Amino acid sequence: MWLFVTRRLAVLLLTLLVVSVFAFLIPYLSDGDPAVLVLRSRVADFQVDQAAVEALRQQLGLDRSLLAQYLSWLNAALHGDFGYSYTSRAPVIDQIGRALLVSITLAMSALGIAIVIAVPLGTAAATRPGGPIDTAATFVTQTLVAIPEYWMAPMGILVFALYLGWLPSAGWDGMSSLVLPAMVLALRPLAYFTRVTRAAMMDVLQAPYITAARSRGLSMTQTVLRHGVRNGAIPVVTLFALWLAGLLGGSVVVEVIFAIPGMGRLIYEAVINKDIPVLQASFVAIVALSVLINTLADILYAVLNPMVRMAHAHA
Amino acid sequence: MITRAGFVAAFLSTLGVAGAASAQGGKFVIAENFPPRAGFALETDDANVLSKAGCLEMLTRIDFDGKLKPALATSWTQTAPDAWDFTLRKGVSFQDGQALTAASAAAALNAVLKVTAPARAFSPKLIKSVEAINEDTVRVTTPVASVLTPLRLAAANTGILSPAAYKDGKIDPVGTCTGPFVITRVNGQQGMSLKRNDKYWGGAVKLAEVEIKFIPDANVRATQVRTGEAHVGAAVPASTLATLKSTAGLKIESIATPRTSTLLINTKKAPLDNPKVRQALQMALDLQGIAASVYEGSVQPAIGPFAPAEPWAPKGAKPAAYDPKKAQALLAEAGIKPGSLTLDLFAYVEKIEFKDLAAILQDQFNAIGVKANIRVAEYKALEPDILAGKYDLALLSRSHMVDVADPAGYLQSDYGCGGGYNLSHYCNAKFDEKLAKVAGEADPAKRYVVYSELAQDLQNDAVNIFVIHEAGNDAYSAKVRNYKIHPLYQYTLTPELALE
Repeated sequence: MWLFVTRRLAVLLLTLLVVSVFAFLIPYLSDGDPAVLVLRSRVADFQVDQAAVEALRQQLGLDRSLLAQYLSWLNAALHGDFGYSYTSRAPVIDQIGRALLVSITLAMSALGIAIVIAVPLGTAAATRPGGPIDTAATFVTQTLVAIPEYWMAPMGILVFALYLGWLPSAGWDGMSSLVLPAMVLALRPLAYFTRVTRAAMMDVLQAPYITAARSRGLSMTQTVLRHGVRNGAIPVVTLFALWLAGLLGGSVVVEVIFAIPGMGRLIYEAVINKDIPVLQASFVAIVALSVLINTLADILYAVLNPMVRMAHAHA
Repeated sequence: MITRAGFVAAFLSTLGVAGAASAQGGKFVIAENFPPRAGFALETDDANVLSKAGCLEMLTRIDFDGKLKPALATSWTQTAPDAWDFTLRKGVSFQDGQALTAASAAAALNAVLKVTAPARAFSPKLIKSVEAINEDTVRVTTPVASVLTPLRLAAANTGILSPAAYKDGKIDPVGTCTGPFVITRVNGQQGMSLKRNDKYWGGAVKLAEVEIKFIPDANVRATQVRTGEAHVGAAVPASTLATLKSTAGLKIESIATPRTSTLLINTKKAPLDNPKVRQALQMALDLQGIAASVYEGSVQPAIGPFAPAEPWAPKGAKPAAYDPKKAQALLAEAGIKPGSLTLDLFAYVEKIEFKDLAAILQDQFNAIGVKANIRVAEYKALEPDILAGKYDLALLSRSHMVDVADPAGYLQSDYGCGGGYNLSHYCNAKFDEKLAKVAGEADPAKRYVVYSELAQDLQNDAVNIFVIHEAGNDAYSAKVRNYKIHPLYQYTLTPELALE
């Protein structure tokens, strides 16, 4: 087991090194002079003073070679210093820390809602394939997968904020402001989790140990709860990790519409402002977290599934 | 019959949750669009965030009527062609208790001059020095004679903060302004909390507490006003105006901004170097129809570069006439056969209306036998070709009062022969001569007459096609009193603003 964990951590470090190169280069791959774009974002106008552009380029160190910029950036990053935002002039690491905390809260809430509904729904659907619950679950999940967040978010605001007045329409101020964006974000993972749970449970319910449990006189409900759910939930763990990693930086639409100060909005603003240090550090942070989360998911998967541990032990 | 709203209200009152999301108590809540993005650096647009918030003040101010008025300075005199003396208002204190002196005002202005990328309105190119010549007089000298210096001192970039605000190259506006409101909390790009400045030099301030929310999505800002979460929703989209107007308890405040959506014409490229061809294109466009359709009637068709309400707009001017037949005749006079002229039309995506607008322009040009190929991209992708003169037509949203409340800078940079932003590549010696002559004119009224003549010349010569005067629309609760939009978006929270 320890060998498995050590290997995964080594892969994690290697991945981060490769990612650092891409993270550094990405802002330079787009068109336009970063100094001009930074200046434009500060004055919200296309016309910029060329002398100011030159001065800014020097101040930001953008006049140095890319290699020199990368090496000094990597050296600082290894010491936990991602520099200062070009626009806000605040330490990037502080901004990312705050935004990540918000995004993690939002993502975990969304996935929590999704899993709490999806696992029982998928399990119920699997116990009676083709039955009314299964049919309804299939219809609902197929519909939810097709609805984009940029449509669902305004609809949620219209219904719950405008017509019902139960929830705030935007902002990040207490539990009430978390509910609506978390619900919107939960819908698509809910659909996927339900379908995966259903498929996994259908496999599990045909397994010999389930037949054995039933033959010992256990009811269907007891069998499913004692023997089925644990095994049926294993693929959901993997899916949960993938969604968590995706939502940390990928909930841009929801964070912008609901004015939530998470990673999605931070990246959105950084792209608009051409805030290179924030973009680079955000990319590194999200990829690092994604790899870390997936590593942890693999470890958890191994804990839940002894066959995986056996395979690694023999490898 | 019970209405849906009535049913919902009854249902909510049963649950005891009605109004859970409404703006609380006497606190005034405003949903703004632009958050501070540069750590409150005064050389950036963050200065406007602070002046709109009723915190930052300048030596002079452009009032809601567009005129220059005293602010932290009570008077100003041109003591030499290149020098202006500003006499400070007596008895003004910063919110941290320090007195405003000529030394602190000069230090604040010098701090803005010394930054790496200074503001265009107040840069070392335009300002030679700022010094305190006695306890309550600040002298500003310029490299060349300038009549615009008092106007420059009204730009938010020249805001005066307490010496305590300038630390380690950063700006801390919390408790260091002179304005009617004191910032008590800044929550990143989420919002700001403010309270009344009880010692404000300008008298009693009506609102006790204010919360500014920075909400990037315009539709959500409109929703915030409809739900009652905010008392004011700034810059609501034109598409929501009809709904907002029909919502009980809401009002709309509209203003023509000093910004015109313009179809740039490359006047150096044949056959667009022929005024008849440009006039034909101008006459091909139904500006009234465009304002009514693309902008849902929320804007006015352009009468030239300046909106009718601006003091330098030609008096009684009307939008260019829509006359496709005359346009065809003009093309024939220029030797252009129907269907023989194809032009590239650039539109950038950052301005969301431009895609639709470009499609309508294409259609209307087609009606007079001119084909237009539309190219839509981000501005940065189009800019190199526009700057290099490798284009025919391009849509541009342009403000003519970015730096200072006087259009001289705009006329020079956009239409002067050596203008730094002369995208239409227009060059007319008479235009430049007229503009140069008026540069030293201290009397604003006389300057404005010349500006209006120049604007009319641009329109008559069809240098560009001025399409619509852009408008700003704010939605606000009927409980709000004395709400106005400032013509330059410099002031929102004023001492007079009140909540019923």
